[in-house]
Amino acid sequence: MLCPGSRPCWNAPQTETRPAFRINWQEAPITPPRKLTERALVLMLVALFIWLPPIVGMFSLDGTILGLPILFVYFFVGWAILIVLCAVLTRALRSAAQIERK
Amino acid sequence: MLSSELVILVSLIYVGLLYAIAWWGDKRARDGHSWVRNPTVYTLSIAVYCTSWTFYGAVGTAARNGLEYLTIYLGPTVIFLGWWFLLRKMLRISKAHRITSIADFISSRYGKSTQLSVLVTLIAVIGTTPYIALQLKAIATSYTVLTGWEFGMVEPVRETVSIFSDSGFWAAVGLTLFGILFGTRFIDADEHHEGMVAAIAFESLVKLFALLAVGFFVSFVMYDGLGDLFAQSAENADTAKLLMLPEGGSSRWLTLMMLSMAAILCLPRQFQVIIVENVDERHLATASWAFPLYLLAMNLFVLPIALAGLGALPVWSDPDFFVISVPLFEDQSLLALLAYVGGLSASTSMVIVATIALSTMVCNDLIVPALLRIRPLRLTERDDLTGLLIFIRRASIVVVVFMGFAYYRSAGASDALAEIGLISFAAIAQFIPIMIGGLYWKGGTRTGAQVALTIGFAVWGYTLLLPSLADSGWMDPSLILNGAFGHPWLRPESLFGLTDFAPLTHALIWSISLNTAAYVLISLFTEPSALERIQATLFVDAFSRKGQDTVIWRSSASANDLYELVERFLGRDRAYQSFRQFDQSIDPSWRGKGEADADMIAFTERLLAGSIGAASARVMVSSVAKGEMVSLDEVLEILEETSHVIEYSQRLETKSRELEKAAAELRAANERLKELDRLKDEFLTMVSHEFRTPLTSIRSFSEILVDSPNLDPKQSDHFLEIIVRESERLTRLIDDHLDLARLEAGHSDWRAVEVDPRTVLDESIDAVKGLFDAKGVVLTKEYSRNSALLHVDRDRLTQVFINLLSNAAKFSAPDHPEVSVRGEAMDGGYLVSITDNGKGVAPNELEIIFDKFSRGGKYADDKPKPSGSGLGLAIAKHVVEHCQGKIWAESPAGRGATFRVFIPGTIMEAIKPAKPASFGS
Repeated sequence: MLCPGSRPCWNAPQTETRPAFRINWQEAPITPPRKLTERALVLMLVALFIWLPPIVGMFSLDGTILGLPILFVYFFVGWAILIVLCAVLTRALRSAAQIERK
Repeated sequence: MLSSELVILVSLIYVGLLYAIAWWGDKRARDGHSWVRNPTVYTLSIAVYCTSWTFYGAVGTAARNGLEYLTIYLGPTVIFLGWWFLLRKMLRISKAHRITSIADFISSRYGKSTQLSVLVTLIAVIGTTPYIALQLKAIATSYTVLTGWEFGMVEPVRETVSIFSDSGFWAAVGLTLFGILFGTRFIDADEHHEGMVAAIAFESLVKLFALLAVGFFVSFVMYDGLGDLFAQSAENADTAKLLMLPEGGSSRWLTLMMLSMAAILCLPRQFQVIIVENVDERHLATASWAFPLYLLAMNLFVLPIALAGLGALPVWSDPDFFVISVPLFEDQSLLALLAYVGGLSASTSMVIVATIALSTMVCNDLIVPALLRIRPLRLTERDDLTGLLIFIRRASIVVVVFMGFAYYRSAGASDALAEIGLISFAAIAQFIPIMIGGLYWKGGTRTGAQVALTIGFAVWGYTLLLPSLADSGWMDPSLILNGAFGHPWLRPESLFGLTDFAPLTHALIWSISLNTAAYVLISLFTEPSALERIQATLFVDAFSRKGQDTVIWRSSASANDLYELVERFLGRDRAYQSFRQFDQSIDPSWRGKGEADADMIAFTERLLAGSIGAASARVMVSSVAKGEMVSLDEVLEILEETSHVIEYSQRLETKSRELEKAAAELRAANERLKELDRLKDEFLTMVSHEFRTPLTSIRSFSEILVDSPNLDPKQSDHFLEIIVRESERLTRLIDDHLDLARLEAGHSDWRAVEVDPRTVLDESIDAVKGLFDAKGVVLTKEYSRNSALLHVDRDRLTQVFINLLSNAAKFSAPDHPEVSVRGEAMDGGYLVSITDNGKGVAPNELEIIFDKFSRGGKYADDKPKPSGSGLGLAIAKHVVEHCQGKIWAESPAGRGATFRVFIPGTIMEAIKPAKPASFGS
């Protein structure tokens, strides 16, 4: 489309053939239900809480679980659980954003 | 036994493979079907966080301090679990403003300040130098361990070896070449390096695989599984204590957690891979759990390897290189070689990304602004600057890598790997207060940020870097021992008498708290400039404003000038492509014509910001739009005026809505008044009419009596009787009328007492007995067992019932009149129903009959029956409603009418069954 007049008009919508960053403000994840984001915040705070003193020190015990030291099990099992929870929550956040988009 | 030739050959082949992958990644990206843009590659590229510090150093830390090494990975896990709040916001802002580095990010937030970006760049470069040295040291040492294990060599002998036979030197050269080839191939508007990302993603896979392989070997070949390994370690007192946290290590634990959380956000290379190289926000969502998963896998076997090394290896072996020396000790040279390649990939990926990120910063935020300020260079008038930009970036890569090399060659790199890395982390952590503050607090000002950063960095240098340099013999250790000017309060490792903490914690306590205090206090006492205020709003409200641009330029530059400006920095092709994308309708003939509008100038500034940084882009654009741009204060004033106008108009809208509502109410009130007026007229007409009927007969009979004195006495008696009856009717009419008027006005006296409605009904029935007998009406009455106690005026209620009963008698069927009365207690009150067997009430009159003067009888064959006043039901309705009750009529066609009265009251349970009484005549 050519603009009338001698001046170029720059107000036409910006469309990129190769998007530098696929972000479209209408399409981008918009506010999902507050409850979900609050859960995400709580997940982060829980992680912080269980991995900082003094809670960490409480598990520095002598003894084993299935032959593994208690502290070792505490860290890696807790870590794995948080990762699974985060994956589930992220999926929910994304699908909530997608539903809202529709 | 591995010969040095073999190790060098493997290293060269591996690096060659990296070059191939990077070249291929770049090619795919240029062809438009990028293989790099997916969440897996994105996650793996973030794993550049795991450097040789992780690969070698974590095992060393585990061998010295047990599970403490985990802190460095738990911190980033926390940040990624909370990606929705911090990382997502940083990403959104960076994409909206085309941020290219952490320096750009911070300076953009504080009004695109050049000084601030210079400061951040300097800190980042100085802070990263020990870190790069660490990687070079790891490469050189691992090479030495691998080739010299049999001679008991654990570390390259730097002092006696010439630079050219130092493996660290060749590593530095190779990494510089890689950075130059894949980091600065061209100046791109969005700073994506697909090739580099592909290579480091591959390297992340290699290092993970290598570490897991060594871990499996240690756990399942050297020992019978992890349980066996831990059981054997628990027997030895030295290794057993590694399975628990060290006593009193809380403050160090806390420090390390905080440092690692800061590092994942602020390290220039992490910013590069997480934010700058990101192409899709959804990739971050995947990485939020995938990156912690990678970290978990990477750390699973660290402690087992350390325990195995401590258990099996001679005491002189360096725990930092157990990953290589344990397989060597077990004669698994192939596995050791794999471990060496893993370590090599960990080191090279870090150096490559860090140098590319730093070179962008040095070029955009240090050199270009400086060159732009040197007027004799006339840089703003040069034709093509892309070559110059690329040269600056390449030179910066060389400088950055060789600064690291110099640190490594000096004795400064003699510490354990982790300790060197922590010094770097502590420097980078100085960005945290102004970054987090900048993201969530609009009040932070540029001056505050500058002072805060300067103080934090100075304290870091004094309390952490100086002691480290003194340790390596570069300076007189008396300063460290006695403090500056010999004052004990100024001792770097116990500043102001704070002696209870380890050097790292001590340094962080002072640097971060002074940094934060300066930032907050100075921000509170300085005024931000207009641009700062705009940028602060854009950053803090990144989500609510939907990323709108600040258009702060008046259309004063010609489109041609802007185009040429972009052409100089991006090159002819890229400039053309970008402008085409900006406006599809572009016509080659536009050049040289016309003024650019504000959108285009803002677009140009953003485009330039992508390649030379926000601060420089501003300078360049204003050099084209010379002297004619709107001052920011003006913009703000306009903005404020606009917001005032908006506010006023909103208030006006509210007012006018209120006015409309009031007008509607007034109209309604007017309608009501008109209606009332009409009713009043009607009422007067009706009253006059009602009064006239008896008056007319009184008058006519009186006239007859007056005019005819000779009237038959019998007849005159009859006439007089009529006159008296009509007068009585008139009096009753007037009485009823006055009564109703009093009721309506609420002036009548109410003597409320507790009564049983059955008594009232019986009384009423007695009162109308004469009338019923005269008409021969058959009356049935029926009361329910229960009754209710009503709080009403007894006389009034009797009046109501008498009214209804006499009406029923009046309208019942003339040939066999029947009336039935029912009383029942129900629903918290008492319901009285009075039914006749007459014609009933027409459906459309069921409500009207309760109005004044509206007698029933609108059935076609009804004759008007002027015997009542027409006020009885109206009075009844008033009385019942005064008692909070309800009165209504029901009339099934042709089956008489039922009038029901319901009055609320207290239900009384019957003690003995009430006899259903029947009453008739």
